[in-house]
Formats: sequence, structure tokens, C-alpha cells
Amino acid sequence: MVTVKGNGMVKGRFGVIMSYYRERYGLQQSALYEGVCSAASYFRVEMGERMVDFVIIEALLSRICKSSEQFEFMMKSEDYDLWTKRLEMQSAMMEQDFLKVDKEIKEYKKQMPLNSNLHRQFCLYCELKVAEWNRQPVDILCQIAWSALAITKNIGDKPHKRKNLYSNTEMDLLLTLIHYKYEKWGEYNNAKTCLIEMLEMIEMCPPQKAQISVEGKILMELAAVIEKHDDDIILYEYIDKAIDTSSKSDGIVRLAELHFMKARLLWRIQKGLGIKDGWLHLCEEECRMAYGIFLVMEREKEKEEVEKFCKEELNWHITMQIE
Amino acid sequence: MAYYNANRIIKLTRIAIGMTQERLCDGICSVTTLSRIEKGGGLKRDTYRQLMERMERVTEEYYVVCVGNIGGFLEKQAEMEKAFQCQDYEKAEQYLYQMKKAADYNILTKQYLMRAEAVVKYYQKQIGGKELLHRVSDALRLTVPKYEKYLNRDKIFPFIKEELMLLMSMGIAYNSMSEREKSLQMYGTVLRCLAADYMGKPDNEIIRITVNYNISKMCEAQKKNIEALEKINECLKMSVVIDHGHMFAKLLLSKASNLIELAQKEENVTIKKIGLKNAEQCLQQAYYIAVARKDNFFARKVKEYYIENFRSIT
Repeated sequence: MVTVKGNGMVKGRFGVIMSYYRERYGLQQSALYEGVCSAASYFRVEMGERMVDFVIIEALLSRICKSSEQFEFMMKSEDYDLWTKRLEMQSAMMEQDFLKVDKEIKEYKKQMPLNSNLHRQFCLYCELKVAEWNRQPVDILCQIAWSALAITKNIGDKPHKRKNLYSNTEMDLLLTLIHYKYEKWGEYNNAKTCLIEMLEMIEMCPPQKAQISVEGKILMELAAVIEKHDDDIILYEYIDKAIDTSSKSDGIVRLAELHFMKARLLWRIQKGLGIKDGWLHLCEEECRMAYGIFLVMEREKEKEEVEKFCKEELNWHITMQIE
Repeated sequence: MAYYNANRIIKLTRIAIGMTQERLCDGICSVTTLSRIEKGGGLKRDTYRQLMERMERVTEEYYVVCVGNIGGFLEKQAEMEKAFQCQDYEKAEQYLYQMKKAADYNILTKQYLMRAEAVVKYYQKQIGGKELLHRVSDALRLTVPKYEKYLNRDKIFPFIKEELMLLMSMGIAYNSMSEREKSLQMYGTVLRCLAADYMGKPDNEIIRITVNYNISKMCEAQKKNIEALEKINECLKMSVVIDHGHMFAKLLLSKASNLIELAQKEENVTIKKIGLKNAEQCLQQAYYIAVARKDNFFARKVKEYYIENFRSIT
């Protein structure tokens, strides 16, 4: 029989991890469990007195920018099937197969436990993605995003509170509201502050694959927000950090997007400075890295964007020669 | 995240060890309940633990390495795994040392660290294939004392992730000792387990890619380049689906190397040129992916190979 021992009391591994990171990052317990589980449940989880299911574990870890990648779970058949379906839906979203996502949402709702906040939020999140693909009006998209976010977050009137912790799904929903400039999210300073604080939170807790993907999305949104406000140097620093983090993760699509973002930013900065020497080579290298990945990953649309940028801006037909 | 179908594991384990339903459930639940469980029916936590304990298997419902009294080892483990991927075994050893110092008493942690240490020492050439085999075999016996019984085709014993990794390490050890049949037996066991649908994606896919890559290297060593290329292309397709960036540069380098070998044997000049062109493109992609991932060691390796074969340098 396997046992876990620590500090003279039996403590679940998950509880050890949560209390360690919470103390290390100076986080409030309430910020962690708000909307995910009750205070009493969370307290007992940290003390190792209570087991929670994997969806709650995933959400709690996600809020401290950790993922369940390094965990191993034994699941009952029904949970196993549901989790497999969830992963298939996430995979279909990555591959832009929204017909499949739409079809699977119905099945997921049939199988998911009743009265589960996190499962409901996941379904709404998928419905949002399908609605975006179907080019539904912006106000409908924002309503769905807002409803989904409100399931686990007490958003209130203020667009963002400091020290708020967000799971990946919550961050994605928030990004949607910022992207479509929903109510107060439409103000430049509010949007920029929120995005930078989300990035700082991710940086404080070394992220794993799922967070790196969200980090990339936040950066793209930040780029769109500050593009007209000449804060390119700030953006450059964030992109560089994100590339550094992303290079340690397994996924490479987001890494390619970041390298291409960096190439475009470098070119924009050099245009502003009016200096070309050296910059062209840097841009070409970034484009090659992005292009190489898009080629292997069979991302035709992204590959063509890189080709177009190289042709129109750099006046260069991209080649992959090794220099 | 490695996740398993507990119901399926109970059934597969019972059948593999040759235990009847009556013997397994005696004092725990009724045979009817066990039958229902094995078909995917409701499974209580306590029932799960008791059944697994009777079959002398790991009883934990969830597990993460090396927590002990102090958290924070998620990063160390991730850093060590990354160092392994980048073939920086010196760095991997440093992280391993830190993890060992604060490891808990869990048998699964011990098993993980034993494998990590054996692999680090092997790739640093501090031990040979025979010693590697001996060490990983000892590690596997911690949780499956009679694992040899389950290597045959007629049994599927549901080894969990770490146990599958140990079997793969045995495959590597046997291959290094030129015992190819035994090596393939290990890999075959792993692939059969992955096909038994008790372990979810993407870990299932990641292990499958690694096994097929290892088999492709064996084919390449025996000059069976076409078979090697089939395996590599299969791995590349799977890697694209799950966005498994770690393997791309390796797979592309391997693909290039096989294409070059085939081109060198080819008499038809046009086909030879096409093969070499494809190989060159693979190397270029491998190089830029390695650079993008800041994998300087691998980028350098690809560049040297590229220069050696294509003599292109500006």
C-alpha cells in the first residue's frame, strides 16, 4: 500500500502543491477557489482531507498558471469518456473544426454532471467559439462570453481587480470581451492594464503548455490594443519573454505566431527609426523560424501570411537556406 | 496529463494476472458489481483501492512526482525533462540531484528517479546498455515484480505511464546490446498497451511517437530506409495533430538522413535529385524549428549535418 507522509500529518499531494504555490506567490485562498469550489472544500483540499474531481483540480491549478500535465489520474469510465470528449473538442477547436465542436457540445451536455459550474462554463466557452466561427453579431458574442465568465468570476462593474486569478478558460473569455471592446473593456487604459496584469501573473508563475498558449493570445491582443499608441518597446519586451517561455514548452504553433509577431514588430520599429541595416536580417530570421513551423504544421493560411509579409514589406521571396 | 480508465484497468489487470472475478471481489463487492464495474459501471473510490490492492497494484487515484514535504518540484521536473529533450544531460543531472534530495517516500517517486538516473548515466556514457537494463528492470520490479510474464502477445497488462517508459528504456538498452528481438519485444509490448485504450491522449500519442521513432532508428541502422521513413512519416503526422513540438526537429533530421541514404543508392538521376532536394528541405525545416525553440545543441547538429551533405554556407 502506498502512503504519503509529510510534516507529521497525512497530506494529499495536491494540497501540498496548492498551499506551497499559494504561499510562494502570496496569493489569497479566496482568489483561488472563488467560483470553483466552496471555501470549506478548498480548505479541506489543502489539508489533504478531501478529494476533489479532476475538473476542479485542473481549474485550481490553472489559476496559479500550472497545469495537470505532470499529474496522473485514475478515472471512472464515465469521467474518462467525458474528459476524452473534452480534449477532442479542444483539439477540434485548435484545428478550426467547429462543425465537430458544435456537434460534440450536445453530447457533452448529456454526459456532464448536473449542477457543475466548470462543465457549464466549458460548454458556453465552446458555444462562443462556434458562434465566432459562425460570425454571430458582436453583442451576442459578448453576451455569451460575459455569461460564461460570470459563472465563476464575480466581475462586477469594474473591468478588472488587481490580484484576480484566472484559469485559462476565464482568461480566454476575458480576452474576448477586451477584443470586442465590451463596455468598459473598450477603454485603452483599462484593456492595457488588464492584459499586462494577466501577463505579469503568468510570468510570476512559470507557465506550462496551456498557459503559454493563452499567453500568446494575450500578447496578440496587447499588440492590437497598443499598436496605435506607440508602445512598441513594451510589447517587444513581452514578446521576447513569451518566446523564451514558449520555447520551453512542447507546443510550437504558438511559438511560430510569436516569432512572426516579433518579425512584424521589428519591421515596424525600424521603419519608425529609419534605420534598415541589420534589421532586415533579423526580420528574415524570425520569418524563417515562423515559416518553418507553419510549413511542418500544415498551417497554409499562416504560411501564406508570412510569405505575403516577406514579399510586400521586406521585398523578399522567403527561402529557408541555412546561413 | 496522463489519465486512465480505472474500470478498464481493473479488468485488464485481473485477466492478465489470471485472477477470477470471484477471487478478486471476495469481501470487497459482489461478482455482479465487479462485472458491472468491468463493463464501465459505477466505481467507488474505496472499491477501486481495495480491488487494486488485492491485485498488488498502485492504489493511488492521482499522482504527481516527488512532492514530499515541499512543493515546487513541478518546475524542477519540467526543467529536467526539457534538459533531457535537449540532450543536456549534465543539466538534467543537476535537477535530478535536487529532486532526489527532497524526494518523498512514495514508491512511484522512487521508480521515476531510478529511471531518470539510469538514463542520465547511460547518455553520459557512465554506464553501458547492460547496466541500464539492470537498473530500469529493478525500477520496474518495484511495482510489477513479475513484469516478464506480461511481455507476451497473448496478455495485455495495463502498465501505467512510468512503467511504459521503463519498458522503452529496456528497449533502448537491448538495442544497444544488439539484442534487436528483445528490443522489439519491449516496444511491441508498449504499443499493444497503448492500443488497449485504457490510457488517454495526448500522453498515449506522445509515447507512441517515441516508440515508433526508436523503431525507425533501428530500421535505419539495418539500412531498411523505406521502413524507417514510413515510421517517421507516421510520427510526423501524429506530432502535427497533437502539436508535439519536441520531436519535430529530431524526426526531420532522421527523415533527411534516410532520404540521403536512399538517394545515394538510387541510380536514376532524377529520382536521386528529388530525394536530395527533399532531404535538404527537411534539414532546413529542422534547423529553423530548433532555432525557434532555442535548442542550440540540436540546431548546431543539424547545421553540421547540412554542411557535410550539402556544403551550403554563406
